[in-house]
Amino acid sequence: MTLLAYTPFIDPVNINQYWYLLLLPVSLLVSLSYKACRVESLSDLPREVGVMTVQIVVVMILLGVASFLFVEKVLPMIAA
Amino acid sequence: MKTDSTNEPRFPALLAAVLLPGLGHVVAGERLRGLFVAVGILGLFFGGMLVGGIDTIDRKDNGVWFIGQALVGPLAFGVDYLHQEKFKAYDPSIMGAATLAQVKNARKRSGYPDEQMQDAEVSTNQGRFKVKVWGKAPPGGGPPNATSVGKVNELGTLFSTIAGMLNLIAIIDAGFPGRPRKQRKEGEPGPADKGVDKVLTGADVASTVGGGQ
Repeated sequence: MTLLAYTPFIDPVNINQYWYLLLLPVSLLVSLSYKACRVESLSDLPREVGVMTVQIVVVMILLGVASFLFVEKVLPMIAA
Repeated sequence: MKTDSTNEPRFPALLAAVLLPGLGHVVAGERLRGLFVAVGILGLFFGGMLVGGIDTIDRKDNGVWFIGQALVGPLAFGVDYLHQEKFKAYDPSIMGAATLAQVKNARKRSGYPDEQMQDAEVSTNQGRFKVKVWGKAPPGGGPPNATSVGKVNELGTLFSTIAGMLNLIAIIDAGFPGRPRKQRKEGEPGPADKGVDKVLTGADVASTVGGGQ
């Protein structure tokens, strides 16, 4: 695919190296649409969306670290 | 807990929410809430297409994921129709089909980088049919879209599927007003109570009044 032939929404973007950065927009948009349905007063929405976005990102990072430790440290210990 | 005056389903809002994400809330009179819902869900849906291309919406080759994507509503079906009709064609091997059943059962696919979509006629025992097939592309030619593979395809598909699942929550929220919303804990100050340490509850007032007597 050449750069000139790229058409947004039709062709994929070449962000295979930075795919993990997509966690931020997906967390934000999931939080926005979920909390828009959930909060009673929309004046609470920015704070609620911020808190939920941070929660998702932090938990995903912790899950990633836990998975890394399990595969790289725990499994070799079991196999040894 | 604050609830609407009626718990009856709001069918116009329910129908509108199925038609377009966020529209149900707008029809129900919650314009700003509907706007936020639409931004979130449509942002995820089109964000998925931006990342993975139109290949991420594919009812035939990605049927299980499309179950989730379909919850976005007619938009998902429209994008899938566009994908199937304008961006996929038959393999050249369909030219050997002898029966109409063989043509109908053949699956369309995305093009390879050196292929270009071409019109062709297939002769079967039930007549001749015009179909689109992939043929060798001339220099500078190619398929109408680059096939999405790897992580960008996975993530794009995931984005749009999550959008569908969130839209199901939004549809239920718009159509059934009796559901509880998350509210502040009693006595906890909110953004409208700046500078206030504690919001007085009914119990506080009662104890104050009782203590004064």
